[in-house]
Amino acid sequence: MTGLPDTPGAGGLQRRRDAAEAAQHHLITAVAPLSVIACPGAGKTRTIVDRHCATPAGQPVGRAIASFTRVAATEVRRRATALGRTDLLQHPHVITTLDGFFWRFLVRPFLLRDDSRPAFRHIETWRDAPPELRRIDLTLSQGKRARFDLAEFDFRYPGGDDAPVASLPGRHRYADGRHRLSDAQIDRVCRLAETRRHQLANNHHLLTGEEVRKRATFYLRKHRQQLARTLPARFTELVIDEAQDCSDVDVDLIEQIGALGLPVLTIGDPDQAIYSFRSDGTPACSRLFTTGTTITLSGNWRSSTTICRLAATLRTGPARGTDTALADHHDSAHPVWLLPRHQNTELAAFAALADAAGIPAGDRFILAHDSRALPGTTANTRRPPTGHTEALIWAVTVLRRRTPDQRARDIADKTLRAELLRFWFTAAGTATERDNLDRFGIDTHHLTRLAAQVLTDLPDLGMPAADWCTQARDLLTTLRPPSAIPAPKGQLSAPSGKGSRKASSLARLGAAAGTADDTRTGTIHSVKGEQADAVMVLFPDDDRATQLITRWATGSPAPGTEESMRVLYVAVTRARHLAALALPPALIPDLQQKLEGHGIAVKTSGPA
Amino acid sequence: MPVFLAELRLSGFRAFAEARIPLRRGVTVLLGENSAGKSGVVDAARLVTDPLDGRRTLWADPDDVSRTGARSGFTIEMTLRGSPAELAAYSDATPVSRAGSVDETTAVYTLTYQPPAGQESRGRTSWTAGSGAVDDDPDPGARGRIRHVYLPPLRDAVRELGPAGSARIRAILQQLLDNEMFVDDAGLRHDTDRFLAEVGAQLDAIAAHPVLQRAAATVNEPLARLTSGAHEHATDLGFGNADLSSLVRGLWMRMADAGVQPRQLTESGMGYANLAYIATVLTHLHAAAQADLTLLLVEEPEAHLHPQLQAVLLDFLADTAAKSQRASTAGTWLGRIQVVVTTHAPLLAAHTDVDDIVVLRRQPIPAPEPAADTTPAGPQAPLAARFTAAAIGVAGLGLTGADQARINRYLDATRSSLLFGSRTILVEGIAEALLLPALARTLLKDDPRAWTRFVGSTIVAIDGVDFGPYLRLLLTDTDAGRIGQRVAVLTDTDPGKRKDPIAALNRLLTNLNAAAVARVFAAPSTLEPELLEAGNDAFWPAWQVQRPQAGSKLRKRIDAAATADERARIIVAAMKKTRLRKGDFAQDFLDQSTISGRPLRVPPYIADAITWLVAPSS
Repeated sequence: MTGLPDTPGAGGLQRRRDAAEAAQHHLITAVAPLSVIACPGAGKTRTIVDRHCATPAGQPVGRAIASFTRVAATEVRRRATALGRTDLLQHPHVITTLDGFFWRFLVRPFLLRDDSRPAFRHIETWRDAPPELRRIDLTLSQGKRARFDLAEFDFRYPGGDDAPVASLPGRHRYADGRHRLSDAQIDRVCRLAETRRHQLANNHHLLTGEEVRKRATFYLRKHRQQLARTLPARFTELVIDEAQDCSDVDVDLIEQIGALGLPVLTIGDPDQAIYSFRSDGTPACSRLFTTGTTITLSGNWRSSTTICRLAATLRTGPARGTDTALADHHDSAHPVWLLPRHQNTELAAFAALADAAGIPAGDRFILAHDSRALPGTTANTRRPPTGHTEALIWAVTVLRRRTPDQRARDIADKTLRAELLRFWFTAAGTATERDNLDRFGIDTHHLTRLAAQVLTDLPDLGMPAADWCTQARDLLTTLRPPSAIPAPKGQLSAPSGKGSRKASSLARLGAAAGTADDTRTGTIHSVKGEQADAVMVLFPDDDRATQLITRWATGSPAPGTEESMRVLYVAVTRARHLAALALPPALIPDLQQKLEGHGIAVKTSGPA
Repeated sequence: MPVFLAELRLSGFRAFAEARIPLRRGVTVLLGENSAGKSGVVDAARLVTDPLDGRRTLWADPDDVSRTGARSGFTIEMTLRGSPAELAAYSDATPVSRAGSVDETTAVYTLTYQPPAGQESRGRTSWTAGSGAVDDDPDPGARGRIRHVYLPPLRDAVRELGPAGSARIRAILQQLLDNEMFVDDAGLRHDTDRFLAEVGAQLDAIAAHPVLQRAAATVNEPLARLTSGAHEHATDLGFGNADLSSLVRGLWMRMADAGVQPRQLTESGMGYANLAYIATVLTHLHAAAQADLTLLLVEEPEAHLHPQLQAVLLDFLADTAAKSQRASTAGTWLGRIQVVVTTHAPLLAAHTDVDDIVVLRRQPIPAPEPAADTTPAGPQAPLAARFTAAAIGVAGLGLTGADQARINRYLDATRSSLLFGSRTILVEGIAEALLLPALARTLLKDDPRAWTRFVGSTIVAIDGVDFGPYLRLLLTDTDAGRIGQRVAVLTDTDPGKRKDPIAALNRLLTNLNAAAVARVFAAPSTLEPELLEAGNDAFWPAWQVQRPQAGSKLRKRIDAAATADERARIIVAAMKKTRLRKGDFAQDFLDQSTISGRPLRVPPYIADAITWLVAPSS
């Protein structure tokens, strides 16, 4: 199904909306196995929720809904509550992440108890592992050393019996003077990280997504017959939301689950596959969308016709045509703006355009492929410093700034809780939070309340670090849980020589990220699944950007650019009314010609 | 294979230091003396499952932690068994063996309770699903599919059936009103609306009765004065809004089909009141259709229940459970029903299949070995329990079908308390059974504690000499010990037989590895000659009563005989020839000694048996 003819007039819009709604409605009752290609703004999550909410109450067999983010789960929860159907959130239904599904049904049932080791724990990221177990020291020449956190590494499980492979992603590769490290040294620390991961999995029984997938692959092979009896009896179907984010291993596992007799419904947008680790092949998920019955949802309730057309030029997958704009502002007259990138003048230009369109700052995104291309210092919003005092200050800073980056807030929250526990209980650094809570007899909600109180009561970070630390020590000592022993001492102090600096400087976050107003800046990956009235994408003046724009303008696939194209597609499809691209001036003419060739209204503005 | 609760494993819970309670798919009868842990098992099942009606009345409590001193909390582990399809919903709880193989016909959940420490006022409970490799239960909802209905010991059914217990009657009413098929004699359908309207109209008429009107006015006068400063309140003595629960609260219900009129419950016998109560609870079981497994936990139905009704009830429960297991399960809840009955009455045990019996008993805890690094006994030490409860399932003893059949028949006929006694003496016939108490009283007259232990012993007369099935039942060893703690066998040598039955019995005891807890005491001949040999003057008068003709001639022959053997042979021959009834003779013998004041002398082998039986526990 491709885009419907663009008939002018309200009657035409109504007809297109009816058609889109009919397609959505069909999805509520269609029988799995099924794959659904849903364009941006297609109301995909809502459709899944509708499908789920159509389940009669009191069923003994449930539905499993797995997603990569918690968005689907949150939406299901909201709708089910509104319908008075909280049973839809509970047994026999399971609403979880794909990780969580693999863990619960392919791994957890087969784990062997070993009384000489801790019980197994599934953790979402290495950030949830005990801090002291995450620390990796790389010894350099002359007795120097560089300190790394296991959570900084990316791990990729290649499949089969192979162990997950570590790499250090760009930002962490260059942070904190690490750019002085040689490739060989980085290679060495990656191997150390792999060894550490192995130890944490086998000796400490901490399993993250990679280990879960590795074991799931193994257990699916070993316990195939049992799973074939139990899984289809447990669930009527498995729904996989955001299926485009599946890795090759995920797709293998999902295909095997389907072969066990559990019908699988996958829904996603293969053009938004942006977690392929820069591989140039077709995204893994395309296998999911090419087998069995496929339904396409091409009605876009989010973006204007212009933006839909712009997005269509970025598609790298099999031809899908242009999506049909269904929003009230479907015929919005805003053109695509191509702004020359020059000494941050594009920021002002974008602000002016959005102001003129009446779009408030809170409804604007400024995005880039890589955080280094963003204005201001945003590099550390997801990376706490390694020192305890610095980490505490960093967490307080991030949480007090109320950054809209949920992930950064999550990390800051975890860091704050970990630092509090470590301050109150010296031994807390070697165990996960849950184990610490058990061990020290603290209720998790109590810790949440203490953390909130600490956040409110800690002094302003503008004072000298030494004074701040003194006051913080007093506060934490006063607030300590009754079981905290012994009275903490000396754990929280300014690093030597930095006592007179502002406490806030220890967070190394710089001024509040991005623009002076509420405009949200971030990487494209960080706004996945969200939307804004106005979006500007920043391209740095480098080879990668040039290759990408060239690839886009010429339409001929080029090595190293396919995934970047999809990332860019994700960026522009966040926009509801206004899309702008800020790029090196030399690249503008080709792109303008390309877009105009597709009948897209394009405007450029000269440097201010 | 229908799902059922196959086992409860209790650690540090109530009377149980460490115990496995095997349960049966249909009906399990938990048999035991008081404080043997029957209620503990039932309460454990109540803690690990939800009540069918969702109203939990039992919560883990610090007092539930057993006082063996060693534990800070308790754990209850429940093991479900069933086919993989029936257990699919419990996949989180599938255990894994050491070898890594998955037992998909089993699901294990463990409840752990830690009593409040320090200043906490609440204890902490946590759940583990599966074998414990991961110590959580990711899907507590699955456990919600296993429910229970609890029937406490029925001591006050009238109150339960009265206004306070209206919930159950309301459930029956609601079921009738919801039933499309239910019509009255005139063929009219009564749904809830109609019922409420009709009954409500009549209640209004009652409320309009002049006496009630006057009463309301009497109440209202001071009420108006008291509340005039604020909102003015008024009351009437009517029935308010006629909803189902208030109607039930206000009405005495008829239950004609049960033959019971609850309005007269206070006048009827307690037994029928209890049965009526049980009937209402069983009606409640229709809701079992909304669960996979419903445990019906019935405590001591013998309390105030007529013996025949106990048997009828047990039959009914067994039938209900069996039906639920045959029911088709396509696409719905499994709806299985499993029954657990506790009793300390021999009757229920006798009425059930012996395989369905689980014997609970207390056994002493061996004194703890003082560890090298032992700390001085804390304040809890004096409280330390000296006993722990253990459970032995008869089905787990591995008895043969022939043994089971014999024991079943025996129990059915005699209602014997065979399975109760911690001290048991097996005898051949009724004669020994009749004589033993009298002989023991004589023997133990200067040792009241030994006499008490004798009174607490069970005398089992098997009316034969095939002790094998009973010994195997009582003495087969299990992880939890044996049902019989001290078993004496009193038998006759019956000289002249080709086979040596005493040696065979001793071999059996050796094979059961029970030589320390069981012993055979054999008369050199048989009972009657031994009574005479012991010097009982009552022998001849008793013989005279039984056989007036032959007495004096026989006595002369006996007096002339040279040895005990010879005397015995003469008496046995005479008994055979005259067809002497051993039971009747024993009664006459006791009459002649106890009533007529002739001293009772205990034959040595019986004295040995009694003395050994009543020896203090080691």
